[in-house]
Amino acid sequence: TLDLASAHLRHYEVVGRATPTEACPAPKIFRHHCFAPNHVVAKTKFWKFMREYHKVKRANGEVFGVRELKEKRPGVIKNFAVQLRWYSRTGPVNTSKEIRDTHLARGVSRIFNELSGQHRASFSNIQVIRTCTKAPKDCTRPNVTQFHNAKVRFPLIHRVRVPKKSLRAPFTAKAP
Amino acid sequence: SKATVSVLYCSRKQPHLKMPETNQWRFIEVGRLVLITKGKYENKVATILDVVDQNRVLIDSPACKDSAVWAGVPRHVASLKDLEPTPVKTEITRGLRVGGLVKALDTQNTIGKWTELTWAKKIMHREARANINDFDRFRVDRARRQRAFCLRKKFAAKLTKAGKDSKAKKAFKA
Repeated sequence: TLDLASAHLRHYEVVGRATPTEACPAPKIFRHHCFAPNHVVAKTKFWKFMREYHKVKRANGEVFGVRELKEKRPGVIKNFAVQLRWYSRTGPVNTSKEIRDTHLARGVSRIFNELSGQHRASFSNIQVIRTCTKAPKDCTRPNVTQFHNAKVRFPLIHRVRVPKKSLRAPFTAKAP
Repeated sequence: SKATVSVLYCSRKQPHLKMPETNQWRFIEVGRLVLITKGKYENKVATILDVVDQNRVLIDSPACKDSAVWAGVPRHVASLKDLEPTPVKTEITRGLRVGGLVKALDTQNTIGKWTELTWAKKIMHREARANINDFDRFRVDRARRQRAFCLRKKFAAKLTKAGKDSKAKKAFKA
């Protein structure tokens, strides 16, 4: 889609369980939703979750299906609150971030980019604990609340015009 | 609100000119008409429906019957880097859906206001020139040559004089 072109992560839902054995003929089925670049990595995330919290290894389990979750209202801007746990050089850190976007997947992608830029936390070092949509009155971060104004307006000051790729030149007559 | 920076600049450079009163920033706001300068929908106009954050806005341009410029840009979030705000603005509420948007654009004649601008006309002429067929290309060339011929005939005396003056200037400098 036009919108998710810039999001490197997509929202997936993986459903699976341990394979039934004599001891446990009907194991609990788990539904895990995660943010991953593709469905293969989504399944990897699922098995990591199953291994760490439910003692089920991939060899002893089965995945029923992987599905990409589409945004329900892509034309509406929402305020997402994302609770994360990421590993810094000295240990794990719990963070909650707020971001404004139309698609949850793109909002989370931007948060991952932010963490990688500001804190050098890479994809494998970040765990998304929970995400939710917040009403404007419940948001606390100023980067989000400053746009909660029906009459928001700002000019574009000091616009740096980047020429098209075909028109770029190594030497120009004027300084940029 | 006045654009303080550019007005001060004007006064420093050309103090004999009056302060321009209608010089205003084109704000990024709900209802602002923007021209898309990059990507698939280049040179199409769209209305800002909502602001996502400092760099992104939600824009939409419902397909309207007669205009080539109003050609159905889908509702999506675009980066402000790919947009150019225009002087045209529509009074709409935030996040208006297509039906309400089309109605507002019609009643406030936003299309008309945009196509009246020299900017819009230049874009249309540029696109028309680019999509010319071979016969029209020949006709344009003929017309330009005829125009040049008429002008040179009319201003022959002045042109010769200017040519002689510039040669004299060069000779003087050297």
